[in-house]
Amino acid sequence: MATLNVETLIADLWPIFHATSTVDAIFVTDSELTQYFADYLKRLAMNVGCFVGVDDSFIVLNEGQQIYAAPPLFLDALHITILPTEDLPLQPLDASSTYELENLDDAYQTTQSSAANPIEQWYADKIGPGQLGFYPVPGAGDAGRIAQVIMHSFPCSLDAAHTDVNIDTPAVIGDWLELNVIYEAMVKESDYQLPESAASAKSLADMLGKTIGVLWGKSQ
Amino acid sequence: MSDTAVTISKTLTPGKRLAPGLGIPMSKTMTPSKSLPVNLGIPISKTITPSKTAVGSISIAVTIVKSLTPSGVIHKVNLGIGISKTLTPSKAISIATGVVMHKSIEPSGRINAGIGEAPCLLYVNDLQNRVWDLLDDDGTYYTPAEVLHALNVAQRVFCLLTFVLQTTFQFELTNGQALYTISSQIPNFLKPLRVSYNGVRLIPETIHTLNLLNDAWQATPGPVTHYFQEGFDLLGIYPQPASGTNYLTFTYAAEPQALVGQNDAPQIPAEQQIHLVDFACWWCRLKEGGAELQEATEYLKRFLGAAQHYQGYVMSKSRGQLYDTKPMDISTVDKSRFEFKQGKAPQGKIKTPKAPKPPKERAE
Repeated sequence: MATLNVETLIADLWPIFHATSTVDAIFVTDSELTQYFADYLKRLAMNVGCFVGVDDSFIVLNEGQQIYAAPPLFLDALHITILPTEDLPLQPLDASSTYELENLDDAYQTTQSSAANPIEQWYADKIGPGQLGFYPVPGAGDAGRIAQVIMHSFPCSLDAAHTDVNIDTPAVIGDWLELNVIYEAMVKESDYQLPESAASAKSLADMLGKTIGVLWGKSQ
Repeated sequence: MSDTAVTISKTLTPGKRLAPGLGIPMSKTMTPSKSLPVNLGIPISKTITPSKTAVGSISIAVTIVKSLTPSGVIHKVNLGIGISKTLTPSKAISIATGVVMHKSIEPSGRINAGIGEAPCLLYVNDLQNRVWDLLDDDGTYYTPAEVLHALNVAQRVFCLLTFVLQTTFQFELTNGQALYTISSQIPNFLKPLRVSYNGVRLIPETIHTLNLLNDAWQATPGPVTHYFQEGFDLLGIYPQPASGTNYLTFTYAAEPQALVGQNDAPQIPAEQQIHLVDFACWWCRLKEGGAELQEATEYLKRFLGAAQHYQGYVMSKSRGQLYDTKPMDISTVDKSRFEFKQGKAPQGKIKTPKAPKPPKERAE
């Protein structure tokens, strides 16, 4: 997978905006374009779920702690596993919900795990965004163990200062991003507004977006 | 005034690449653009050496024999004087009468068409010239870099829509490891088409279906029978080999390499490369809008139609469509969405609010 560079992508677009670089750009700025790229990467992540990551260090279980903050850039969990230790085997968890857990155990928020009753489920509802809960609540034997999370995530590294310029996607995703950025730059209110060009770019971007969804979407 | 015998030996540098072809005889008749201050019956022998490396290590030897008839007047007479001159023309050949050219070319690359035809493989230089021809430009308004980028986008989109580039790679496994980052071994990966282990095809799954099969799928030793691919880059296998050196035979749809130099050729089949010009024209016209873009939209539709057609061809090559992943069927895409009419808002639903009507004047 190619690592794209947002500065290169922006440089590709200057001729379309009748400029050679950020120096002689009049109707759109480098920071605006960077922001468009960053926004559409997030839209892609949310709509398609094509950024799938594995975190195996962030969630460290504590005795008696029911709810944990999800790893950074977390959207939703695909699979959670308690990693093995020298004494304990790998423990895969099932997805559940508070409704199911209430029916299973009225004291689901306080029942602690033990060797006979290991952690078996995780849930994410009614505890706010970016939070994960475990049932049973980790007991003394599970303290210090790590929950591995396979998750949908979103990229959030682009900024106007270009401190990080990398976009880890196939190169054709960069083309899709460019089409959307052209749309945004040409549809915004300015003397350079070109609604027909904006719509034409958007039409192709939408078609490619559907293709991307079919190939890398959550249905796969 | 009297006649004299002058011998001129010239070394010329052609300005354009010569199209390769086996034993192509060329005959050209040219009219000198300038008066030659030489005498009647001057034999001129020229040797031309191309300035550029012929594509595919093609060696070209061109011999030109000229017979000239002076149109001017000779002011100085030097009887019996032999003149030998080596010239380096700054322009392409434009002064020759009755020139006979004979070429001997031995191409080392593939020949796509019959002898005497132009080769089918289009290089960046050819593609750029075609784009400029359609846009009535010479590289001044639509810069070479701009057109090159458009061609690269075109090729990548074509490959995404058709899965035309397919590659097989030996993907190395680590004993006991279930999850892999595909890009660590395959940089140009798009989607898996067929994955096998020790000659046995693996069953494609998702994390969800693997959980249903065996919730301890991440820690089950054994020969690989199932795999999943999530997102752009995550690969999971079940079970996991425990010992030895193991590989997956990974057939995948690939992305093309970026076109960079003038002599680079697209990786898509030669007969499909003409479609890249269509897309590039549309891309370049985006900065124009209006009637220019409206015309170029037809090129975009033709490009998408060609991609759709070729997608069907690629899929039909796999009997029963036995790929693990298939490209999206773009035949259902409403291509009228790309159209717009001058003076009307396009389908992006961008409308300019009407100006309020001026109040009617009261009758005096």
